[in-house]
Amino acid sequence: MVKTNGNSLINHWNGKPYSQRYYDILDKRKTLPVWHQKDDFLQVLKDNQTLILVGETGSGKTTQIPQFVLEAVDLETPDKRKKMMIACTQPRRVAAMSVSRRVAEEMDVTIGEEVGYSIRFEDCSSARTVLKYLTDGMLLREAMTDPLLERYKVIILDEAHERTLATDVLFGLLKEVLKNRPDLKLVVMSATLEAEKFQGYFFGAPLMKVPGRLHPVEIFYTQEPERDYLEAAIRTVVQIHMCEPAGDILVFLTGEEEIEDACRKISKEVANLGDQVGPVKAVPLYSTLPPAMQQKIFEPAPPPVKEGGPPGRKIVVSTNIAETSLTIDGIVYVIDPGFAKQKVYNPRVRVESLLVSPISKASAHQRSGRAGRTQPGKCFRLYTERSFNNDLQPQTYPEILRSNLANTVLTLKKLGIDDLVHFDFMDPPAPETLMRALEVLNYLGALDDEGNLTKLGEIMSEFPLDPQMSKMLVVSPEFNCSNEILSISAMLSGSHQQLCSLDFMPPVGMYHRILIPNCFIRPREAAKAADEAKARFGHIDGDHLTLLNVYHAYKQNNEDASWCYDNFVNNRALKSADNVRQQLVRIMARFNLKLCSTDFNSRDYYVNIRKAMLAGYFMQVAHLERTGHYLTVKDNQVVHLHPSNCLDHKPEWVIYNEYVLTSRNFIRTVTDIRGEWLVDIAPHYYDLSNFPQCEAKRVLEKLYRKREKEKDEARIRK
Amino acid sequence: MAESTPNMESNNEEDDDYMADLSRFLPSDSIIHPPNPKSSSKRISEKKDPSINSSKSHLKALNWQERRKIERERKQIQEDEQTLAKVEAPIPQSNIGFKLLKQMGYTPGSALGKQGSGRAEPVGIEIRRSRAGIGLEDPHKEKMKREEITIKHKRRNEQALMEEFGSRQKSRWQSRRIIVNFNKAKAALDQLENRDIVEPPKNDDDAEGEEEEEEEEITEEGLLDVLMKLRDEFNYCLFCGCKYESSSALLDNCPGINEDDH
Repeated sequence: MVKTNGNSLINHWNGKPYSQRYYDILDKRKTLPVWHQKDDFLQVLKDNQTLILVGETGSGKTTQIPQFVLEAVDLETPDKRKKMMIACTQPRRVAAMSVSRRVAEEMDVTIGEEVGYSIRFEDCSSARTVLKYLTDGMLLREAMTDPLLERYKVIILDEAHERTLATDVLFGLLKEVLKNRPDLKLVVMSATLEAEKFQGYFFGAPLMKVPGRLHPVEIFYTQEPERDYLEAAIRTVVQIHMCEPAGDILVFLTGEEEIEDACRKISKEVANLGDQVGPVKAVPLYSTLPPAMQQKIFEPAPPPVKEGGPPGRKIVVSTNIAETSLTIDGIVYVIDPGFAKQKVYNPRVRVESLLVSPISKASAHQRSGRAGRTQPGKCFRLYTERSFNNDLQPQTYPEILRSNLANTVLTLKKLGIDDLVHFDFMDPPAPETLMRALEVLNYLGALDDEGNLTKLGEIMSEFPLDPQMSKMLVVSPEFNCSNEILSISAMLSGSHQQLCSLDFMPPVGMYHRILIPNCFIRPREAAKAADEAKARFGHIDGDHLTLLNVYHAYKQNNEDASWCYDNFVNNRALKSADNVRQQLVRIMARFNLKLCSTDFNSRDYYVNIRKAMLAGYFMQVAHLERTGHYLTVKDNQVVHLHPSNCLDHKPEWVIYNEYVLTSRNFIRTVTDIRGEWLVDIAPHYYDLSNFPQCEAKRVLEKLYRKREKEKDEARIRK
Repeated sequence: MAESTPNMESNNEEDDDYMADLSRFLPSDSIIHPPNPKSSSKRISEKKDPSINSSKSHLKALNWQERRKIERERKQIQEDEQTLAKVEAPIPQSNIGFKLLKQMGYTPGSALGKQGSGRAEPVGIEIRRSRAGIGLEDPHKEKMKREEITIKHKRRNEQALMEEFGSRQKSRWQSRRIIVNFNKAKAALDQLENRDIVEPPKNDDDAEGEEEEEEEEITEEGLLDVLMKLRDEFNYCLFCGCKYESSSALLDNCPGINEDDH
């Protein structure tokens, strides 16, 4: 059963002789820590159905373990043409893509053949594929059509410590599947401490530890809490640069703006010190940074200005993506202000947003570990030891406790799990989070009043999108504008996909609900020109329609890259939006949903589109109060139009794509809609007997009366 | 002092741009209190800065923007408070989502999970809109907290003062009352004891002498003694102002021994 092909000259996967490169890589692979435990691992795997493997980043587990499994497990099926597969899940799309490429190289096969990957909207695998890297969300999707995951022999859940929403749902699901499929094996791989918790959850499965390669890191705390952590971080960088021996610095900050600001200030402060100190290169790192810019973090530190002068230093200023997902060689000093932007969701106020919050002790530990990758290092925590002990929670809350679960509930329903109350979640969500999800699905018509999945709900669950967006797509043919709604949906999720496909995107939910439609580029140095370019696409009725204009213009200009450049439009974003659109068209076709458009010259062209959008987003509406600010419908939250909007007026009613808490409470990506439509399209939601007292209610009352009157008049005329 | 206030205010406006982060959020406070040495020294150093003196219009614009920014921040704090207040309010039982979950077997008040081990309440939200480090709260919140504490302190102080004042007043009033009543009672007793003696000059002298003598002696107990004597011996109540027929009539009709009873 166990094939030892180490000495063979022929690659038995594809029958070709091994290349020289294969042997070169093999030598390097054998130095990875995980190779020391290869035999142990295979023995434990043979003896158990489930096992847990703990290994620090850099131990080689993600690339090597699946290959070990491949060597040891028999994938033959009675059908000679088809083999069973091994799945290895990743929380990040980019990791799935890049790791599978690497492993294909190591195995000396072509990517997409024996080794492949599958991520949302992109499947790069074939009938020959035996090892598939895929996002955890994709494996969940596969379970919808293959509930026992029968095409897999071994499932490896990698980066389980990240506790993404999809991984957590898979945990519960796989526990059931394992009971029904004794031949299936599960390997849970994690980088950190919570492994014991996994062990308890997975029937006391054996735990294996792969030692990492960490040098000791000395930890320093401040004496007093800091007034301004950004200022303190910059000050610390300068101090390290002046006083500490050579070695690069990694600074953790929270977001793009802050990071760019810090890079500028660091360069300026160091320049002010003159040639007493060496040169520095401050490099930003965040997920929305273009890939070419991200590569800069791997460049070496600058050389001394003149020979024998003080050495140069590289200073990487990064979001928490540098915490676990990548290794930057040469980092000796870490500065940790103790904050990160984290997703939060509260079902009571229905806000899902990224908020700057204190990190957990586990995160702080992870961050300090980054200083000891290549040599003994130092970590400067910009808070007191007392704060570390008292103010930081032990672990970051898993994503399932910080997410809107509307989509998850729809998926679980589709998977046939009806008892959500007793589902075996590792960390069960708060009841109110499920209530909100059930409410949304009920109002959208995906669940009936008994909580059963409706026909509409079944179709909606097939779209890898938010339920609101799926609903809008499914009903769009009724408004004679499915082509346009497809384009808008693709632009809304496609441009975000572009953000994810940049390296190291932190996981943000199963389907990345936090959308940032930034197909517009706004370089600092050409901000004015960029704004003018954007204004040319602007549609006075709203941002959704502006996105549609951009997409149409892109197609009219034959997807020309230089046209994109000239118009400050992100080519990559549009390319991926176009790809997403094709995928969505395929799903529409599967359910015989008609592709249609209203005549562009018709007065109803845009009206129909706006109505169709409202049919999906009628729960995300804000009303303009006489006092001049907006209140969200039913929740009565004060919100403001995001400054990026392209409206030329303040409409009485708007639908919004997202509600975020940044510098203010903003609603982003908004479109003007008419109050009458609320009454016509979503009377079940705008049921005034179930409506809090507010200005919007009084306006709606009038609208209902108007409609009644019209009906009466029509009856009389008849 | 009246003159200096407007000056300080205008200085303060200028300062908005340059003061340390925290003081920027305290415009009203710094009007009331004299600026601390740190900010005044900063002001001096800023005045020396030629780039700022040279572009006064720029400065004005910035001030206006700064002021607007402060105003916006203030509003945002209010909105945040509203948001956080809503975070406290659970989803009502009338909600369709509540009903659907109940249909699935949820017992209101319990948690989810195989063993019901989940969270009962959603994870709260904390809105930080400043760069205060860990261990320090948001300056807005800190400021509010500080204000709250000082207000509480002030209120407590005031209350204590009022109480003290009140009790002092009361005791002063009481002792005066005691003296007055004692004298009255004493006079009544004298009158009742020596019906025949016709008073004025002698009595006056006596009273004066007595008063002088007794001034230190007059206590509540002394008053009570005299009052009781009047009641026991003459069926007379000073506060009713009359002599009763019998001791039972006194007991029936007089509401009590003390002045307060009347």
